[in-house]
Amino acid sequence: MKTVCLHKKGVWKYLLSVNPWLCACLFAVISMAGSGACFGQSITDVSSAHTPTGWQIQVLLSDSLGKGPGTCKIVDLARTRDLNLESCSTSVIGNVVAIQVAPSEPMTSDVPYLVALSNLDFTDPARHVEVLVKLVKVPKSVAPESEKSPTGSETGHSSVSNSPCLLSRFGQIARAKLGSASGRDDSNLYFSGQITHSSGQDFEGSYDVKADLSGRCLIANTVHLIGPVLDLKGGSDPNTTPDSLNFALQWEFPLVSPREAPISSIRLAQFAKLETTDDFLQRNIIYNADLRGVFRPWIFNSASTIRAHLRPVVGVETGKNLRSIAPQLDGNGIARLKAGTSFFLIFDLGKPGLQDVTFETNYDRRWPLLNEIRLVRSQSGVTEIFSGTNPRDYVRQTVAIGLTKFVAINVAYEYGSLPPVYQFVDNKFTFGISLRAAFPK
Amino acid sequence: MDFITAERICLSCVRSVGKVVGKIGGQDPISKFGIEDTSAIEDLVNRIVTDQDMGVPSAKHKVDPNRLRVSSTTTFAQLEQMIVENSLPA
Repeated sequence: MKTVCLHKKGVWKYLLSVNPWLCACLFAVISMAGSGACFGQSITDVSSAHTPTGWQIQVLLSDSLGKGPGTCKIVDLARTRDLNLESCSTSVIGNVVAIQVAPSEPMTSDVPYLVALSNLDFTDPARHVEVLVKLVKVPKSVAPESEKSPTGSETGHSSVSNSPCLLSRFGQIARAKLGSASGRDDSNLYFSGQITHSSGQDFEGSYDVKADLSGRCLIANTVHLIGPVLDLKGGSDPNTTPDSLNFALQWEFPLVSPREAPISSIRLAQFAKLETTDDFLQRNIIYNADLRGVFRPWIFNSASTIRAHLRPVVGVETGKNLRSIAPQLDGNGIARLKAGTSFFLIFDLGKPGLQDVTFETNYDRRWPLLNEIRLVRSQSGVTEIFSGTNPRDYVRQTVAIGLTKFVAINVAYEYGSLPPVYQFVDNKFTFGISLRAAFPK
Repeated sequence: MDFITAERICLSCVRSVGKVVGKIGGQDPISKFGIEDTSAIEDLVNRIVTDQDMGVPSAKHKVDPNRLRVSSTTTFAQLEQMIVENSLPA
């Protein structure tokens, strides 16, 4: 729906006041003619929410206002009458106008409404605009559980999920409510297919799948993230980390959240997980507790398009081997200390075909306290099995070039080894495409 | 909950978890304030839902955290609307 800037004094305001239908018709004709906003300033979006105190309308403008609009008007085009408004004010951030409709005014999804703001004084660039209008419809919505009558009738308020907090993500998947994400860490659902070239080897394919279905539960006035997480990595490359499957139950919450400190929170992330190769020849059952420091972001320019994040981690992993490809380690206990960090550097370009470029470095060092397996592939192609408690490092450097909000090209470098079999990866480069999605609004 | 109160809550919580440089616009995604990975997003949700001084409880309201479907691409105005739509008197 296009917005028309009606800046010619008198005529449009007069039409709007005496005949909103004619105004709406002219608006539609001008929109079809593609006139757009006259000066560049426009209403970019209008959203609505039904609350116990009546409908609230949020008008998003392209630029900030110096002061509140002179008048606000919402016209019911089906009945050709103005709705009674309780208030109309500009917010602190300047380019949002909040309109409170009187509680007695019913707004329905099958009726078009004309939102009109007049006497607008924009800043940066400073300009006076007589009238901005936009045609809107309010969404069809249902009542939250707490507001539903015993018969379950609708009251016009938005809905609240009636599923347990642990299962809330499943409901979103069922309703296909997915949005874009910025990377693997931000994604609830993530798929990356890659072509791999290791030193002295042919090109091979590999894949990386993540599904995080944890829901938010409010426990002791803290939001806990609880639910299943699946990580699956595999492919046909014999010289890299073998197929691995991690199925975990996650329980994560902030231990401390200081308000005025360089660190935003320290989060305790616990996992009960089955750590296995995809052929189940090596299986570990693991309890993992990580303390993750969430530092406040670093922002390097005034447009906030260059940002960096640091996430140091320390943790322990304990458990038991259920089955090992090395018979002498079959059934052994597992105890590891872990320390590492993640660092992200993001260039948010926001251009069509080049959304962002992200540099991500992950480093982990594990210190096994009990003997664990380690696979090393020799240059002759023979895989040798070792065991011991020597520290195991793993580093991964990724450059992701976001083409669209959902699709990115990845170039990655890996070195080191990861559980469950710690197959040593020696300078592996990968190139691939990733699809990323999150559960947003 | 009205939009002006929701905006006050969003501003406080975003400033508390992320970093605000320059002016905030309703169309700005929260990633612009450095809130773009799972940990930061969950910190923001925790702040909005539970903080007695700057979150939804400060306005004598409550909100179901699972109703705040926040991702890095959620805009400031969308966050406001989520709070308005889903808050109920405490």
